[in-house]
Amino acid sequence: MSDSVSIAIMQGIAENLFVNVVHNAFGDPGTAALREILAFLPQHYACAAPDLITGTLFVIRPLDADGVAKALSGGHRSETRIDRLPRRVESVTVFELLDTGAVRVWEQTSIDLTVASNSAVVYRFTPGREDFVVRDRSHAIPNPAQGYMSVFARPTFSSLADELVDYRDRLVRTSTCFLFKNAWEDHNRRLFFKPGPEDWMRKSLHSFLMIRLRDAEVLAEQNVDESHPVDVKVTWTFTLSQALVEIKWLGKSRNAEGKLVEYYDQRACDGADQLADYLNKYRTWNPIVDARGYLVVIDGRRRGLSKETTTVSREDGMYYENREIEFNPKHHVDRTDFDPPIRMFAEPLFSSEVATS
Amino acid sequence: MKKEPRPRLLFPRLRHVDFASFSLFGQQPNVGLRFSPGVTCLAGANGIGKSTFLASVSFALTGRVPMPTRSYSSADEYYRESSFFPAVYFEGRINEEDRATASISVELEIGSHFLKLTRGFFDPDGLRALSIRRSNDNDNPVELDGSNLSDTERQLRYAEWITEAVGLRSFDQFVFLQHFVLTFDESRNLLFWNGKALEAALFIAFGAKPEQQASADRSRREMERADSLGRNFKWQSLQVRKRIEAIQESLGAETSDDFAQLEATFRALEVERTSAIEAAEEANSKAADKDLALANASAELLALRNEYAKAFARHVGERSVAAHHPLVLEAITEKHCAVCGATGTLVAEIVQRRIDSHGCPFCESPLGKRREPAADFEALRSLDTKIAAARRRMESVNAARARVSASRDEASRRAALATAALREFEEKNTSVAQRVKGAEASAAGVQEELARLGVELKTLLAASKENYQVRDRHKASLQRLQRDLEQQYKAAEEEFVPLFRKLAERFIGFDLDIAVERGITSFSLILELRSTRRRVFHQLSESQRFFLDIALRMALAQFVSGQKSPAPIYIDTPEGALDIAYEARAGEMFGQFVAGGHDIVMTANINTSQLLKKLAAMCGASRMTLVRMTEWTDLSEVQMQAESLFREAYGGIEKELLKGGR
Amino acid sequence: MGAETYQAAFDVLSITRRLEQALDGVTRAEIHLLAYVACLLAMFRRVPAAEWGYGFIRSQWGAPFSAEIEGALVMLAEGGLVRIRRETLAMTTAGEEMLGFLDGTVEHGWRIQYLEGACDSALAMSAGVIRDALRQEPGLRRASVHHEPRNLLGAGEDAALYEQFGILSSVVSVEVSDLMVPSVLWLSYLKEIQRLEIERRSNEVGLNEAPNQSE
Repeated sequence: MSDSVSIAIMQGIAENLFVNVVHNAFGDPGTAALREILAFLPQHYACAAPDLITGTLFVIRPLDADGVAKALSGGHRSETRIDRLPRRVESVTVFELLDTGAVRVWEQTSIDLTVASNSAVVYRFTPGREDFVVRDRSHAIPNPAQGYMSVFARPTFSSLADELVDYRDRLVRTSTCFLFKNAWEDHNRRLFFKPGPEDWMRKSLHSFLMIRLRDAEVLAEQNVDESHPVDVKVTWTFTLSQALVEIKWLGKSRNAEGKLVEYYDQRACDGADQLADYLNKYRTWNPIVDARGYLVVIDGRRRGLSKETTTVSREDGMYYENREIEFNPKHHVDRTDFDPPIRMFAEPLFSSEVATS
Repeated sequence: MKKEPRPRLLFPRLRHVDFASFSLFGQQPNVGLRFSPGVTCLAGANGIGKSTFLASVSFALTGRVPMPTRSYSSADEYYRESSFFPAVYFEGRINEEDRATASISVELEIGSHFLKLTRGFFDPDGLRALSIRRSNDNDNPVELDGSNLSDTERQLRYAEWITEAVGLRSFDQFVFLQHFVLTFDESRNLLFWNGKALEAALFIAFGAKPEQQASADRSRREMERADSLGRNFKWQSLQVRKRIEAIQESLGAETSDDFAQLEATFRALEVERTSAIEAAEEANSKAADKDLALANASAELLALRNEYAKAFARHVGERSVAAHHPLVLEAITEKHCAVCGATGTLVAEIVQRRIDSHGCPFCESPLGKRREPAADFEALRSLDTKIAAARRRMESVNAARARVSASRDEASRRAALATAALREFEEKNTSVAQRVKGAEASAAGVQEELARLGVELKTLLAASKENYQVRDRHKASLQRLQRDLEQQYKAAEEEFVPLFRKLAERFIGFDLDIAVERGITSFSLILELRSTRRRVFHQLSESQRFFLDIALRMALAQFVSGQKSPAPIYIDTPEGALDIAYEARAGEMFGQFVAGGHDIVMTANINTSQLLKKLAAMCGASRMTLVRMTEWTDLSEVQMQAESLFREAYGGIEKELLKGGR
Repeated sequence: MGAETYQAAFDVLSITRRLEQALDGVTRAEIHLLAYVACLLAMFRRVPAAEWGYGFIRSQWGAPFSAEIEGALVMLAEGGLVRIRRETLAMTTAGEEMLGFLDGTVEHGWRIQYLEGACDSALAMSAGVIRDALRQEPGLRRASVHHEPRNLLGAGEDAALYEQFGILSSVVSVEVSDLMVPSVLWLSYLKEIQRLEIERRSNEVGLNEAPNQSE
C-alpha cells in the first residue's frame, strides 16, 4: 500500500472518529472533557444496563463554567453517587458532568442540540444508535450489537456459554445486530437467507464476542470447510483454554435466480460430527491446549416456505420456535470437551410488523 | 605378470544396533534393531530419520559422521578434520537433557569374533563399553573385557584391534573405507569424481600392502609442502633483489636542477606527514580522555540507578507481611471478615487499629514495625535528583565526546593522506628518495647494507633450491608408488573388471568397460562402451551415475573381501528420476550383490518401491528384512499422509518377500 | 532488582490506578497490553524503544508479554501495594501513596503521558478491540508467523512501525499533547487495514461483497 493511500485512509478515519473530531473541534479541553465522559460511562452502565434505556440518554461535559443549562429545559437535581442515578430512561434524560465530580440530572427534558454541542462534548445513547454530537454533527460509534448494548459497557468475565445465550436472546432472536441483519435476503421479512449467509453470521458473532469477553482473543476464521469447520476461535490470553465455535444455519437461502438451498436438522448433526472430528485432530496437533467445542445453530426454519412465498402466518413462522434438534451421537454427553449445542431461533417479521432497526 | 598373494580384508558385519535416549526418535528413543544377513531396509516418509540412522551407525563404527562436503587429501587429515562434525550433526537431533545419556551400541561380527561397543553421541573419541569374544572357543571366549578401562583407552584398544582384524595399517584407513567407499549417502559424493579418494581406495584394494596407501598419502603431502616452501623462498629472494638494484642505482646518480626541486618536494612531504601524525596522536589522546569520561559518567549513572532500585525494593519489600495479607486487606477494603463472615465499617476499623498498633489481628502476636513511607520517599527523592543531574552530566560529556571524535577523525584522515602522498612520491621517484635517505647514511653504511642484502639473497635462493629438490624427491616416490599401483591394478583387472561389469550390466543393460587412467596428480576411472571404446560417463543421467557409482563400490567391496567376512554396503537410496524399468534393474543389481554373501543396509521411501519389489523377489524373506520406521517418531500431518501411501507399497513389497528367494 | 523492574513497577501502578474506577480493576493481560501500547506511543514521540526500560516478547501463550511487568506485579502484590483479586488488580492505600510520590520524580514522571495515552485509549475502545487491532501492528504481526517465541521491538526490527508512525504524524502532529488522539486513530487505522485485507481475500475467493459497515 502506498503512503498516499495510507494517509487517505487515516484521514478518512480521522474525519469520523469521535476522539479526533472532538480534538479538532475543541482542542485539549475537549479531549479532557471527553475523557471524563469515557471514564463515567462504564461505571454507569455497570449499575444501569443499557437495555433499560428506551428513550434517549445524553451524557454531557460542558467546556465552560456556564454549563449547558441554556440548552436544556425543566428541572434538575444533583447526585454525587453513580449508583443513585436513574436507571430507566423512557423519554429524554441528560447527565451533566460537573467540575465538582457530581452529576446534574435532567429528566424528561428537552435539549437544544445545536447549542449544547457547540459548548460541550455530547454523548448520546438511544436504542439502535450510540454517538457523539460535535458542533451539531453526529459521529456514530460503530457497534455491531446495537439495541441492547453500549460499546462502553464493561466486558464481562462470564463464560462463553453465557455469552452465547445472551447473543441468542438479544441479537439473534430479533436480528438486532446490524451485521447479522445482512444474512437475510429481505431484512423486513426474514424468511429466506441470502446465499452464503454464514459469512455475516460469523462476522456478527465475532464482533459481539470481541467486545463482550474480557482477556480473550477472538478470531474469525477465513477458510471454513469440511476439514476446518471452525468459524470463530477464542483464546483466553495467557491460559491454555481455547474455544472452537462452529456455526451452522438451518432454513432456506435463496439467490437472485430464485435457486433454493435448504438445510434441516441433519445439517446440525453433521456439524456436530464435523466439530467432534476436528476437535480430535486439533487436540493431536496441540496436545497442551485445553480446547472445547461449541456448536451454534442459527435456526431460520419456517413451515411451508416455497420459492413463491412472500409472507408467512404467525403459526407457520413460529412453528420451529421450540423445536429442538435431536443429536445422535450426543457428543456433548459422550465427551467432556463438547458443550451442548445451542440453537438460536431467529424470528420472522409478520406482515403487520416493520423492522425497527 | 607376477601374481602376488593379494591381501583379503575382513569386514565387520552389523548384527545389532541399540539406541539410548536418542531424542529424534521421539516415540522410541531406545530403539534396538537386529540385523540378519542379507538386506535390511529401513523405510518411511521423508524426514523420519532414515539418513540419521545410517549416519549414527557410521558414527558408532568410526567415531565420525560422514561429512556432506567430503574433501580428501589424506586419510589421517580427514580423520582429524572431521572430529568437530559429530557434535554439530547430533546437536539438533538430541535434546539438551538427553545429551549426557544418549549413546549408540552396535554388535559386530568379524571373522570368528563378536565385538560389542557403546559410543556416546557427544564423545566421538571415547567408548563407554567394549567387549570382544571369540565365537569358536566356548571354553575361553572372552578376548577383551573393556569394563576396567577408561573411555579413551577403550577407543584406542578398539581402534588397534579393528584395524588389525580388518587387515589395514591404521584406524583412519578404516574410517576412510567406511565413509568414502562403503557408504553411499545423501551427500551423493561419487567415488568416480573424487580423484584423490579414488586413488586411496585403489591403493587399499589393489596395493600389495596397506602401507602402500599410507606412504602415498605421506609422499603427496611432503611434496606439496616442499613445493609451497620453495615458491615462498623464491618470491622473497625477488624482493631482496629489487632492493639491491634500487640501492645500486641510487649510488650512481647525477645532480640536476630537477633533482633539487624533487628533493625539496620530498622534504616538504616528509614534514607534512610528521606533523599530521603528531596532530592525529594528540587528537587521539583527547578522544580517549573523553571516552573515559563518558564511561565514567555511565558508570556513575548505573551506580545511582542501582541504588535507586535498592531503595525502591526496600520500600516495597520490607513491609509488614501481615499488613497486606489477603484476609487483612479484604477486611480493611471490603469491610468483610473472611474468618467469621461479619461485615461493616467496624470490621475494617478494628483490623486497621490492630495493624497500626503492630499486633496481629488474628492472634495478637507482635508485628514488626511498619516502615514509614516518608523516610523511604525522601531517600528516593534525593536519589532521583542525583540521577537527573548525572543524566545531564552524561549528556554534556557525550556532546563533547562527539565533537572531539569528529576532530580526531579529521586529523586521522589528514595523516593518512600525507602518508599516502609521501609513498606515492617515493614510488615515482625511487632513486631520489633512496638517495636522499641514503645521503643521510654514511657511504660505509650503504656498502654494509649491500653486503648484508647480498648474503640474504644467497641464503634465500639456496633455501628455495633445496626445497624444490625435496619436492622432486617426494614426487618421484609418489610416482613410483602410483606406477606400482597401476601395475597391481592391471594384474588384478582380470578379476576385478568382470565383477564390476556384471553388476553394472545388470543395471544399465549394456556392456560397460572400466579402465584406470593415471593423471598428473591422481587416478581416474573411465567408463567405456565396450563395443566402441567411447567414454560414456557424461552421457548418463544423474541417477544412472549414482547407481554405477554404487556398482563400483560393490565391485571394490567384493574384490577386497575375504570369504569369511564380506564387506557390507550402506546405501541411502538415491531418489533421482529413474525410469521404472531402471528401478527394477537397480533392484536386480543389489540382489546380485547380496547373493554373493554381502550385506546391504539401506533406506527407502515411496519412490523406490519398484527397486524394493525386485530386490524382495530376488532375496525372499530369508535374506531381506523390511523395517518400518513409522513407530519411531512423532509424525507431522504431511508425514502421516505419506505413511498411508506407503502402506499400499509395503504390502506389495511384503508379498514379494513371501514369494521370493529365487 | 534492576532499573527495568522499577520502571515496570511504576507502569503497573499507574495503569492499575488509572483504570481502576472505570473498569473496576484491570486484568493482568490488560496491563501487559497497555504497557506495550504506552511503549509504542513513546516511540511515536521518537523515544527509542531501548529507553522504555524493559522489553516485550510474543510468547506461545499470548502477546504482548513482559517478564519485567509480570515480576513487578508479583513484587508489588507481595509488598501490599496492589491487591490481586480473582481476575483483576486493585490499588491499596500504600500503593496510592507510593504512586503519588513517584509521579513527581524525574525518573518516572516522563512516562506518565504515554501511560495516560494508553489507558485513555482503553476507555475509548475496549481492551479487546485494542488487542484485536494490534494484531496488525508490524512487530506483533511478524512475530505471529513463527511458532517459537520472539522478541518484539528489537534493534533494527522497527522500520515498518516507524514508517506507519511517519504516516500517522502527517495526520496528527507528533507534538500533540494528548496522546489518546493519535493512539485511537492509529489503532482504528490498524483495524481498518485488517478489514480491507479480509475483504480483499474474500473477494478473491469470490464471496459476497461487504457493503459499507459504518452508519
